Amino acid sequence: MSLFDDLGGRGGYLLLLVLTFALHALLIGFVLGAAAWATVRALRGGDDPIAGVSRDWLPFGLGAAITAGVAPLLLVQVLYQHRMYTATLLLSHRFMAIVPVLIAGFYLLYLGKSERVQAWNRVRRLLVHGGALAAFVFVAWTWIEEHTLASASPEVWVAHYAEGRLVHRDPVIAQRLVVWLGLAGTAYAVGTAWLGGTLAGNAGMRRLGAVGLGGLTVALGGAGALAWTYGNDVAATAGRAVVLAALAVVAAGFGFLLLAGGKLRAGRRLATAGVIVLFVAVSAIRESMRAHRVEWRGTLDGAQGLPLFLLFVVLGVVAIVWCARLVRRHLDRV
Amino acid sequence: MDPTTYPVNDFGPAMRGMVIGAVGILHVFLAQFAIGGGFVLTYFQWMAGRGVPDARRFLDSFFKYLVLVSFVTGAMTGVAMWLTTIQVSPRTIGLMVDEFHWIWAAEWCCFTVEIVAGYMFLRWGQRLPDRVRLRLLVTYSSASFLSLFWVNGILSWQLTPGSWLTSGDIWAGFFNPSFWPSLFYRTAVSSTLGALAAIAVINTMDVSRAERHALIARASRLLVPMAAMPVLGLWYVAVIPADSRAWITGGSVAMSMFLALAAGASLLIGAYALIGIWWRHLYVSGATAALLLALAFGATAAGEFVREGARKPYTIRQVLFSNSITPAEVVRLRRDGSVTDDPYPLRDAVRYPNAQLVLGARVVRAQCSACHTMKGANALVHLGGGWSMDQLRLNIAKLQLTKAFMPPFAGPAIEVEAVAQLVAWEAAGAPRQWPVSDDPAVLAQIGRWLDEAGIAPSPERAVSRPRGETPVEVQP
Ligand code: HEC
Ligand code: HEM
Repeated sequence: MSLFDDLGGRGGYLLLLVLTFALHALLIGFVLGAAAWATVRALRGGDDPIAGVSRDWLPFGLGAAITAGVAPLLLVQVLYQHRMYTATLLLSHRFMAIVPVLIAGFYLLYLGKSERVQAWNRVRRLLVHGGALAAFVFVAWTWIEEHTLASASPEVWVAHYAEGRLVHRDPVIAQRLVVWLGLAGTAYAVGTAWLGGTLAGNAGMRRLGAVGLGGLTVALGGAGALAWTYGNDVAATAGRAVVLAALAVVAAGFGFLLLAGGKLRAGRRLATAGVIVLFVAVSAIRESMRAHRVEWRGTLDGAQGLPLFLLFVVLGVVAIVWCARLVRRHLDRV
Repeated sequence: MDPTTYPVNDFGPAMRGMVIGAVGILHVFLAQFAIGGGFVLTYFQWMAGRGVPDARRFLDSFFKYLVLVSFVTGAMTGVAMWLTTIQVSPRTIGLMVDEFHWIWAAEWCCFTVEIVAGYMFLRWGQRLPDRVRLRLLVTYSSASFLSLFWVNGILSWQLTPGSWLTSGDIWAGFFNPSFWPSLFYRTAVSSTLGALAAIAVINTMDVSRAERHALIARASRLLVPMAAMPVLGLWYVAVIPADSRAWITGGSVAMSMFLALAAGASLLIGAYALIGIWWRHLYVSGATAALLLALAFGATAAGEFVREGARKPYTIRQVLFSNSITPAEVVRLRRDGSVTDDPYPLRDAVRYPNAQLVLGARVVRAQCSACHTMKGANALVHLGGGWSMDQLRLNIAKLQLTKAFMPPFAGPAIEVEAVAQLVAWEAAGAPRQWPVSDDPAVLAQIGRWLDEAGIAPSPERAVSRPRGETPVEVQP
């Protein structure tokens, strides 16, 4: 793929952006899915093991997703600085609203996890879980709006500013959101199959398989609409990533089918591999299309400090693996 | 579009700097609290391992607060900080990102470790032996301290870029003259905040008075680094540029007041710790601890205010003025005009009776709005509205001499005149009719004033040469 050719320069940044954004999107997908499941559960009343697992892991999931979002936030500033900043300034308070909304959503998750809330009546539980879900969908919408405005032409920016608008409207925003919400279903199904596999039992696994399949279908529908809007652009700029995404859809779909059919181990593995590749591929498609339109900032060619970052990637991985093994060894003993 | 041109938002009566100030202070406070909290946890876990009673109980209740307050709000205000800095000065943060993004990326690795280790402790800590808990907490607090380490280098570089200016070496910029004093100072502050919060939490615990007293005595040991703060503060003040020092220590009434406030509040906390906790073995109630924390917040706020203010007229010393114009660009803008290439129209252009006032408003938006509003905070109308026309013209043309913490005016004579007319028009109550002023003799006089002022910042803030830019010629 020509996108990553120059790994010492632009290609390296793009590759990192694609990978870290895919990680952000996977975790966000889990958060959106888990919040949706918890909301539906509250709506129907009662409880089920999958909802329990979702509530339990949501706060950490969101913390991890936000942390993972900081890396692409940095890289987007490096690669598309002027566009990103302009969109952020134009959306102003409307964009900044994600901060209080996310803080509120975060606390709702901690609240939703507490035993006290589980004893509440249905309406109040619905408010807690549904409130968190609404907050996250709002944030997703906002990031897409920001991305869309950042990709727009200077004429659009000037008109936006002149009219003193705070929102940017574009049919593409809703289409992209549909894709991400569908993909969220797949990330959630896979994540929960690992976190709560034993608790959920066979019936639970079947339902997760169905969620994954449903998510794929929705995502494909949204992608179809997007391809219609963008036309030939996609195939021309992201050909290989599109092929990879198609293969990943097949693998994930097959995995979810196995899962739905009760083949837990094989289904979970295949679906997981498919979903991870799918997120990376979608992230690459997204980046190819943008990089295609935006010129490279040559000023970065002399940037210093890369070895430090690489060192800390290694140190970070070592530290996390070390902690995880330490905890696991001692938990097993108890 | 020129990649240095950005749309400028209007924050009403508040100026842009105030917005970042508010978010920044909250973020710095919470972030330092999180780091200090890490010290507290590690210290108490170490004691728990040595069999100190109640240490473990304290830990488990303290950690809940730390997670709820600092994980959530601290992490989110970190993101908020990024987004706010973009809102306030995209060019400043852009230059910082261009220069230091790999260091920031390394910081992100540390932050990730901090979050993961912290959550492991939260989730499984209760079921782990002391030895393992200690290791998790050491990882957690070292990672959070390293985050401070990295960010501190980048932030202190803004005021004292040191030999980076000539060599362009980011390590020279990172380990700049104010790196160590500000790192140590912030570490001491973190430790203080952690200790105060711990004392507040201990007060909510259900233990006997004697046990509570013993825990508080241990927590207050983390107040010891406070003793070094006066020396560290003096060290910091000694290494910052002479003009910044002069300004915060008497040159600006507001700055000096805030500096005094920060020092006074810190002294009060220190005095209480010394006299109350150690000497008289006083019992620190929850209310007192909360009060001390509030004082610490005040000290942080005042300190950050001073640190931000000390940079004026730059956001990055000798590289970028507060109004996002570089010293080298001033030459070109004096010739071509500061808003000639600005594609963003005024939103309220119909308000103005003539094109000159529209130009004036565009110039103010580009060059002054970082520090002034028209009628709200630090309002131009209040500052210069009572002056005669010639006073206005002179003071604006010689902006950097009018007040040393303003950058040089970066436009031709017609822009000075337009701004002067605008201020006069607003001061006159914005009448429907206003004559255009285009007397060539007036413009020629302004041109001479501009030349006299030159393009260098006020004499005591001389420009040396930033990397990659041609030397700046000072007009005769
Ligand atoms: C770096 C921030 C900054 C910028 C940019 C800036 N100023 Fe100022 N200016 C200040 C401060 C701070 C004061 C002092 C206010 C006070 O004394 O209360 C001031 C004071 C003034 C005064 C009053 C001076 C006096 O002697 O009382 C005028 C007039 C003024 N500014 C005009 C302007 C104009 C016009 C611009 C844009 C071309 C501008 N300033 C840009 C920070 C700035
Ligand atoms: C619940 C919270 C969040 C949700 C649901 C969410 C969702 C999304 C979605 C759907 C996108 C894709 C946009 C597109 O393709 O057009 C996105 C992109 C992004 N998000 Fe998040 N996000 C969340 C929080 C965050 C936070 C807190 C950060 C910052 C640390 C962040 C950083 C980013 C970045 C940098 C991008 C890429 C933007 C670009 O490429 O232009 N996200 N997010």
